[in-house]
Amino acid sequence: MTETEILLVEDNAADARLTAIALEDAQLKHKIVLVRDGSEALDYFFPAGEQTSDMAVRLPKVVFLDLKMPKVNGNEVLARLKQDERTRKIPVVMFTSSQEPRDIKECYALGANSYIVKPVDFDEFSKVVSNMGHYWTLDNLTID
Amino acid sequence: MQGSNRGMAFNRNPPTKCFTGAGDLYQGVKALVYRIKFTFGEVERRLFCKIHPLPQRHMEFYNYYKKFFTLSNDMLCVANTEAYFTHLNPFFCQLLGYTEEELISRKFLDFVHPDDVASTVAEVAKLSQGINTINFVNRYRCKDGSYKYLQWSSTPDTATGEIFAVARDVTEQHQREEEILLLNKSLEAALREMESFSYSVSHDLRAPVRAISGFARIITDKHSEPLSSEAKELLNIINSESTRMGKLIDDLLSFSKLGKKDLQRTMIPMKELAHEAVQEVQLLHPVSTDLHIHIDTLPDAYCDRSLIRQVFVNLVSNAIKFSEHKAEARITIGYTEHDAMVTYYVKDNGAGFDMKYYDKLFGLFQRLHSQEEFGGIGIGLANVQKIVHRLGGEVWAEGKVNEGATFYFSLPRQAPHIVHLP
Repeated sequence: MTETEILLVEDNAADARLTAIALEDAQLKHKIVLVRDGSEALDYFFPAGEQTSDMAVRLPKVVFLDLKMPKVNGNEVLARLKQDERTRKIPVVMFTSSQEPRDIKECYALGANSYIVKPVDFDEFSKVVSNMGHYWTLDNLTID
Repeated sequence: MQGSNRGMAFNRNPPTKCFTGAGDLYQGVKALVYRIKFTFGEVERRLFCKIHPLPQRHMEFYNYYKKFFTLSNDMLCVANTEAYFTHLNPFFCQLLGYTEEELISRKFLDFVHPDDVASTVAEVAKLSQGINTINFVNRYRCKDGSYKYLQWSSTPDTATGEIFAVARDVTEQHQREEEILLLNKSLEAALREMESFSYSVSHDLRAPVRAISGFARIITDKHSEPLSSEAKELLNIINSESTRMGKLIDDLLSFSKLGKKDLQRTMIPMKELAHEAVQEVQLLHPVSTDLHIHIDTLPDAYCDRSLIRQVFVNLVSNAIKFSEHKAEARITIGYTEHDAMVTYYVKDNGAGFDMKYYDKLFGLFQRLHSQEEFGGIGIGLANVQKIVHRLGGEVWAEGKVNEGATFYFSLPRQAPHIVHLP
């Protein structure tokens, strides 16, 4: 059921709002769920105290994941999702301001499906968000 | 060497060659030491062993070369197999401040800096295997307790085990090198700090700028109906200025990254690269001017492909940009050759610049034209300079207002050769 959701993990309120607006403008059919940091993201998948591996978890169509966040940061969330059998197949797109080669390398090593740098210019930003929304919800095929 | 010298007929004529440079002097002294060695080897042994009274001829040789030994402003010495000095020239004693007796009465290792004993022992071991010492440096303790850096050239007498050595005081040179090394280190640290600072500043500034420009844009696009025309105009200024700031930040970020990028240097076909750059610029910024671009048959250079491509892109886009107001723009990419360097240039007949402001030309965020005249933020030439300096070249320019500008950069023609001395 949750495959109709796009999970947006973003701690910066302005960036979250801009991304949400750009996704709305892209007119996707998916519901956008916003969580504000890495620990909220983990709660989304693995409700508090639930650590057993046979429980069903929420499966969004795609996760747009910020990298630099307070408490639990993006690559920790990424690592956790890719280590768990139940969440491994969910596409995770890193959506961040960081262009550092070190960050890009580490995310791919942890199993990120894509790495996209947030453009500063809003025209470009909304184009990038719209493209990635369409690509991951319409063009890209996943295994149920 | 050793054997042939020992059996060689002894030539009593003094060396007639005129020694000019330090290398010649070194060779001269070295030759001299060989002869002194022979003199000592033969003459002194006989003298001390008293097997035969010394023939008159040998005594002459002895006196003859003893004069050079006494005069030399290099440190000359002979040491025996028990690691004691047996002969020292006056300069040796004078430099370290000891009497000859003081130096001869103790093993020479006693004078060596504790940290240099191991390397000195290793060097002596090599000498005992018949291997010459070339430019070995260790520290010797002076009478006043200070240390001097000595640079040694030594040769063994394999038959007797004696070591013949020449040393030079390189203390000052050594101190200078250490000072330069220290200075370089602190400069590098400062540079790294500056780069990481500008990186993090520009990085952290991106999010707020994105927010400002983004929301201003959203208001313009979706909520501008109730706004007065003046409010809309002001909103447009926020839009364009925040976009400009975003560009500034991105460019500053890439500028700070330039210094961090690892160089991948190979021989680069410069003509091909210039073509690519021209095509890229024309594709990205089409102009209405009648544009004539000529590219000479540029020779290859030793540099980093992606970086030097950026140099061409910057210079060519500048040339095109500043020729926009001309009816007919002529741009030439050419070169001149020197010994080890090739100088490439990009010449245009555009707006040019006043040589009075030459000092500002390559500065970061420096501009010589108004925003209305020509757009830009003043980072292109700063990038060019930084790249070319990193690749071991120089940049410079010539210009005249309304007549055009020529930007030059030099690059090594080929990879530096490492010369192996015999």
